[in-house]
Amino acid sequence: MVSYIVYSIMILILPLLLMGFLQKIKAKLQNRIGAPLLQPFFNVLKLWNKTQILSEDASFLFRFGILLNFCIATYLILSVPWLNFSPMIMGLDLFLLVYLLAAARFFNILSALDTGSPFGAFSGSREAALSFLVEPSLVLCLLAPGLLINSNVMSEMFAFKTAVNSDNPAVWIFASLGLFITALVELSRMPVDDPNTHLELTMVHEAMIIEASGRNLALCEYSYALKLTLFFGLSVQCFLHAVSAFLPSNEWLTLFFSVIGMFFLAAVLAMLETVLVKLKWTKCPDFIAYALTMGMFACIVALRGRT
Amino acid sequence: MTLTEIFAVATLASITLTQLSVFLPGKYRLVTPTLFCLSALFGMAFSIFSLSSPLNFVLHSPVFLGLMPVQFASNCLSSAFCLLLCLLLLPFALFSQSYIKTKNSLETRFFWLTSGLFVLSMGSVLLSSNAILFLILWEVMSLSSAALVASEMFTRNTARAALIYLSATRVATALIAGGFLAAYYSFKSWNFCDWHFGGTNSLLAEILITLGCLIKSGIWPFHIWLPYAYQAAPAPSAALMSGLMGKVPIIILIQFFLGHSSHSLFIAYILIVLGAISTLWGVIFSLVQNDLKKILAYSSVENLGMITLTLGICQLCKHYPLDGVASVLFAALLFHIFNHAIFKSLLFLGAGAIYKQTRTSNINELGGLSRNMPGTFLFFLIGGAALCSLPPLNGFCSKWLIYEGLFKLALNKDITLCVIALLVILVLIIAGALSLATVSKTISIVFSGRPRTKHSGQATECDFAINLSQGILAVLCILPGLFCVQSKYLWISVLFAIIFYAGFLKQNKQRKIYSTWECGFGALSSRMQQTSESFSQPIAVFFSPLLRYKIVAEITGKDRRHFPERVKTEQSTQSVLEAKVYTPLVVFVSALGRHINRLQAGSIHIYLSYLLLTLITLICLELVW
Repeated sequence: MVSYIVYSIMILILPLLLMGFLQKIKAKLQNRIGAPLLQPFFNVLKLWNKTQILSEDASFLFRFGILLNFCIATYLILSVPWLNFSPMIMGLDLFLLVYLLAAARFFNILSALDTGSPFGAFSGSREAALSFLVEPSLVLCLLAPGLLINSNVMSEMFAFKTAVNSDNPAVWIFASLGLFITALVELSRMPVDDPNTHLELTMVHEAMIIEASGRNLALCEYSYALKLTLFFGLSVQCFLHAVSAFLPSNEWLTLFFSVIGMFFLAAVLAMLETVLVKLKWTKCPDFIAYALTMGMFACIVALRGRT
Repeated sequence: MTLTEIFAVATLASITLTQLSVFLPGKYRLVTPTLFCLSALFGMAFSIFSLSSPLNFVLHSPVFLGLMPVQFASNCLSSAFCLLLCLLLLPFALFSQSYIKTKNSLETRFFWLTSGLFVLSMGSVLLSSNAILFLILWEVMSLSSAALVASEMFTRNTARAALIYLSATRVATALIAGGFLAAYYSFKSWNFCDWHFGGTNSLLAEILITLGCLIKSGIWPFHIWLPYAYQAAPAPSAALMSGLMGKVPIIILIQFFLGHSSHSLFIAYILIVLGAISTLWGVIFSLVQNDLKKILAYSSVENLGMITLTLGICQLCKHYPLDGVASVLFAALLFHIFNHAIFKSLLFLGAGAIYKQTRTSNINELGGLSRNMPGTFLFFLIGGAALCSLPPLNGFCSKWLIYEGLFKLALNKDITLCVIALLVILVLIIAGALSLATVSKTISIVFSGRPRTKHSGQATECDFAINLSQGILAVLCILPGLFCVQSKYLWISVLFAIIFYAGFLKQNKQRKIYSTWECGFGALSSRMQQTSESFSQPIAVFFSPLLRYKIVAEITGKDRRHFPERVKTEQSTQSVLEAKVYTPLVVFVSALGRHINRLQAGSIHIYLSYLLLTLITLICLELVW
């Protein structure tokens, strides 16, 4: 019980730390000093106490959508298994995961369009288009380990060193890469969307929350960080499974390794965002095709490996 | 006489009374809906009792249908379907008595008469146990639903829709009758219980019956009639047609093909391929529609496609024999039929309520209805969330079961089955993401933002009966999710969100109401909002060959690049199937008709020469044999 509580607190603190780390590395790479590591915490606290400005055209859905989005993100982060750590909330399977993410997206889009703002609406329609492109790759990347382990329950899929024929590194590596690219699209990071701009008509995520302020914005930022942790966590876990032969089996140690891995991914992302430029909107499907290809490779290898 | 028979008679009697009560004078207006509800309750009792003691009823002479007597028999499937039918009749009657409130009482009477006939024939077509009775009831069902489609016959569009629908049902009936003849030829009986499909000798019958059923339920490429008919029909009838009538053919297919030991692989593949195509086709077209009822109609194509697809895979599993997977998929199939009936009816009733208050169902003329019609908004939101199968609601429960079955199938050793299962999972995932886009577009354009026209700005909430009927269906959408183990914690998190929300309301000091951010350009007008077309544009461009998607932009002005005086964009979509296949087909058939018409020139001399020719031909034939 104690370990569950410790774990839950850790997993709820980690997202903001990860965001701070990401910003810091990005600043260093761009020869800036950058904000302190704990800046996201300060931001959320500051926003929490600020006055929220609501649009006169907004209905209850605007704030309720943001809240529901946050609750779903928290639910997901507490129910995704973490290597040997069985989660707080059992019984998450991969289709439930995908559809919960879809539910979060649904309410995101609705609250973006609720105020009648053309900015929010544009980004809402883009988000819907991106999600339709990226969802198949997410499912394929998660199906491949499932096919390998013969189960679609997440806690069995990601159970460490217990599964029968999980020693198929190729599947895990493809899945890991596919999930990372999927994460870039789902979280609207660099090649698809620039998280730093706020006034460009090509933006996706930032424009969706353009009407949010005060507590609503704090919730938006925090649920975004939670989602980042979720995706990076899945990707890192897949990678750790690929190299499971070299890892100790102590659960706290593997947890430590996966946290290190997530910070590593954040550093990779920071580098990508320094080097890459944003893709033209019409080129995004080509980029997403990489994730789909990774997912397909993973599934094919899993099918071949089984028979 | 068993309880089942008593309630069957009671249902029949009360429906007949309902039909008669239509002719009462105008001040007894409420009698008909009340009797309708009563017969729905009797029907429910009948279907519950018939689950334990099945109905088996033969009406002997003097009533005789030429080849077979009037004969009804129920099984679990048809009883369950009758239960669903009666369950939906309650909200239907509640809604209709408020919706069909026109001055012209002839119209009201016509509506109640045809809907009574429609409901009765729909329920009894599944209970009929021989082919002749089945065909008669099937025809009554088709014609009464066509009459319902035509019941708002003010416009040319409605007439056209009714004509298209009628021709589709003609073809379907012809195919099914042909199929029954072929089945009689191979099994030498008109009784359904003697028919055992699956062998090689009955393949023709199977194909004909399958095609007829697919036309009737609106599967690709026969879905053309569906958007026209559902758009033209009054909303409550559209709810019944989409929620129930579309499933009758599917239930028939299940009864004919799934109950036996041997299974035809060919039919299974037809069902899988057509189901998969119509799943994607329906959802893509539903995304680009601007009419609320058309959006729902195309999404019915999607859902029926999904049901057909599951049926096909179920049959495939039974062939191989993988009974475990087949039973999971069968359960999922029935559950989805049930759920789709509920949430689609809810959405059609919502569309009807909006039409009643604003007199339009073009979503680009709506907007901002969340303030004026909060009840309808809430129920439509629940129905929409169920339609794109978001977790705690009923749509997710059945879709999850379908995925579960498919995943089990993917774990099979046979690589072909694995690949089929994975492809189907991908199709369902893509369709799910697209239907999410469709629903979020619809809800936000209709209910959010500022009203786009005066009608939607001045709309008021509809009366209590309409909201109650939607509420019943919304509760039915939520209930299955409550009993789903997976979503126990999910409900807790939804509850958390609601509690949080309530808690936030108290902090009024820290809130300011201000206009939507407009880049400092001054107040946003209602025209400066997202339209239905602009929301679907990124995805529509992706599928432009299928949709024949075109955008024509016209910018005029002296310095038209920097200071345009007038910007006009027009966007058009058209179904490639309709343009490339059906229109040429109709042109061809009518041209052929003109040529054949020449035979009937109206001249007695030509007719006499026909007689002579026939005589000569017959004599020649006689000589040859």
